[in-house]
Parts: sequence; C-alpha cells; structure tokens
Amino acid sequence: MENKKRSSFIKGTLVAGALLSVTALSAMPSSSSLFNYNALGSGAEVRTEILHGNANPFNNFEAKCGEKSTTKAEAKSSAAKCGDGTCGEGDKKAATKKSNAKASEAKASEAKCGEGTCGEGDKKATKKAARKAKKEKK
Amino acid sequence: MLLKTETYNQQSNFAQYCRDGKDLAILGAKQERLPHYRRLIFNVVKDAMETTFPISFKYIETEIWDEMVYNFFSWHKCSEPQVWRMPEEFFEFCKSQNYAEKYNLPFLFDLLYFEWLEVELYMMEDIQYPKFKKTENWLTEKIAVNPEHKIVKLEYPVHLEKPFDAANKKGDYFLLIYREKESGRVQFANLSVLFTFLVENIVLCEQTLEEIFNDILYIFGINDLEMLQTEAFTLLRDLQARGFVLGVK
Repeated sequence: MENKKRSSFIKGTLVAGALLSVTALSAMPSSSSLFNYNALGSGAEVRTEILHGNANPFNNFEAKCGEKSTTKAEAKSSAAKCGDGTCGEGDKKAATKKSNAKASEAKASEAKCGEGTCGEGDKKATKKAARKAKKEKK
Repeated sequence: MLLKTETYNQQSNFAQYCRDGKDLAILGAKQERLPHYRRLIFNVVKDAMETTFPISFKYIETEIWDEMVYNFFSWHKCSEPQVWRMPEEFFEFCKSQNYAEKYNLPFLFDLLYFEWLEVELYMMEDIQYPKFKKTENWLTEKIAVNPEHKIVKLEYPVHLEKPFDAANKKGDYFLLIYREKESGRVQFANLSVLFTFLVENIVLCEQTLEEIFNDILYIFGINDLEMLQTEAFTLLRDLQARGFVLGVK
C-alpha cells in the first residue's frame, strides 16, 4: 500500500523498480550508502583501474565530492597490450572523436588489411603477449 | 548503385562464405585463395571486438570469447554499415543467444553494455546545450545539465570491480555517463539510488530542486532536510566542477 502511494511520486524511470522493491523500501540502505557517489573518472581511467588496478573504486576513489580521481592514464601505458584498448597512447577509444571515419579507424584501426599487423611489426607480438598473459592468468 | 542480379548473388555468396566458410559456387574464384579473404575479414571483426571490449576480452576465457566472436561473425548479418557500430550488434547478438547463461557469465550483458556505452556516448551526435545562468541559487530554480549524458542501471558492478569479483554482487547499480563538452571525454560516476532519483528528476526538469527534495524526503523516509540538502549540494557542486551540472535555467 505504502509502495503504491510512493510510486505516484516516483518519476524517474530507472529508480522506480529499485525503489518499489520490497527490499529497497523496507530495508532502506543506511544514510551513508544513500548518499554514495563516486566520480570514477574517464573511460580510460575506469578501464585502467579494472584492467590493471585493484578495481574497487569504492576504496580507491572514495568519492569525496570535488576530489580529483587519483588513477591516471600513466598506469595504463605501463602495460600497454593490444586488445586491452591501450595500444599506443592513453585512450585508443578517445583518439577517434567526432568522425565516423575516424571511429572506424579506432575500432579496427590497425587491422584494415585484416592482419592487424600492417606497418607495425610489434602488434602481432603484443597480441600474442596479451593472449599469453590471459592464459597465465587462468 | 543497382547491381545485376548475378553480381549481387556472387557478392552474397562470397559474403556468406566469408562468414561461415561453407563452400559456395563463386564464379571465377580460386578456391585455394578464398580462405585468406575469410581470415582477413574475420581478423577485422575480431580486432574490432577486442578493441571495443578490452575488459571482456581480458577476463573472459579465450576459448569462450573466440567462440562468441566467431558465432557472431558466422551467424549474424550485420545491419550497420559503420564498423564502429558493429560491437553494439555483438552485444545484442550475445543477448539474443543468451550467452550469459550458456557460458555461466552472469555479468556478461552488463559488462558488454558498459563497455559499449563509452563508445556510444563518445560518438553520439552533438546535442544543443540549454541556456543557463551560473548561480548557486539552486533551490528554487530548475537546474540545467549537460544534455550529452545517459543514466543506466546495471545488475552487476562491472564498472567498479573486475568482472568475476562483480559476479556475486548482484544488485541495483546506477551509473551516470556524460561527455565533456570541450575535451569530448566520456566521464563515469557511480550514483546511489537516492542520487540517481535526484539527477533523473533534475534532468526531467519538471520541478525545482526544493520540490524534488520534498519528494525525496517522503519516498526515502528521510526526516533530516538539512542533511539531504548538504549532501545534494555537495554532489551538485562536484558535478558542476566536472561539467555535468551547468547552472540554472
């Protein structure tokens, strides 16, 4: 009943489901989690954290409003491997802004010929290294 | 450009061969050379996926990843002419094949979606910014925000954790993604359910902040307006510094 009353107030489509669930309203999270906010940084920073870091921004970024995120793209470049989206410089995805043609380049930039190795002798080697690392991880 | 039926059939046969490797009569083609075309085209697709989904590629077992990409290449007829949009079709394909269940990767759809979102936001068409005034008198005004954004709900915290760590943390996670005006970089922020409600209602722009606060007090059963205002203003100031909140209308 109470949920129905509340539902008339809930205009946000995303949170409606979460709020109307029994757990959300009957066991409302503590005030600290209600006011939780983590600025995770740019895509490159988030990726770096998950790919190479401790990957728990709740701990690492700790969302103090106004605080700059602490992980930087340099972490990414330290272990740049093809397929990690880190080839070359900081943000391969970001290197493509604003042009569809550029976008295609970004997504399959060095694989235009299909070999993924054109003009770049090392890429094959780094891809192999990425695969190898993946196997070692397992 | 209109093609002759025969040319069209030849091209279709060739495309089909490239996808599934099953021999089809392709006039004038040297059989021993065909596999190379197939290999080269597959490499383009594979590379596009690995580049767009670096986290998925890293953490999902190689055999499973290769199988998903290979099946996509073989079975899915891409409708997007732009290569950079192909990963979105891969995400949809994985959903339609229910790979999360098949490969026991409960986080799969969230992870692919999360990784795709960055590309989508990055490449989205420019949206006209609203007119706004810079002031801190937010309470009685409607707040203007960066229109190039998305708020999404995820079931697994794939934006916070390594995928297999996130796998056993099913819940409601809210993510604000927006594109910076000047740099074009895509920024991510993890929001609580309350802050998501606040931001969603600010975006709707139907109410003043004061009215939204009143709703929050009722819906979330909070009885400390001062605390709510303090926390919300802290959030809004930070989002303003980061280029999401612009000012008031």
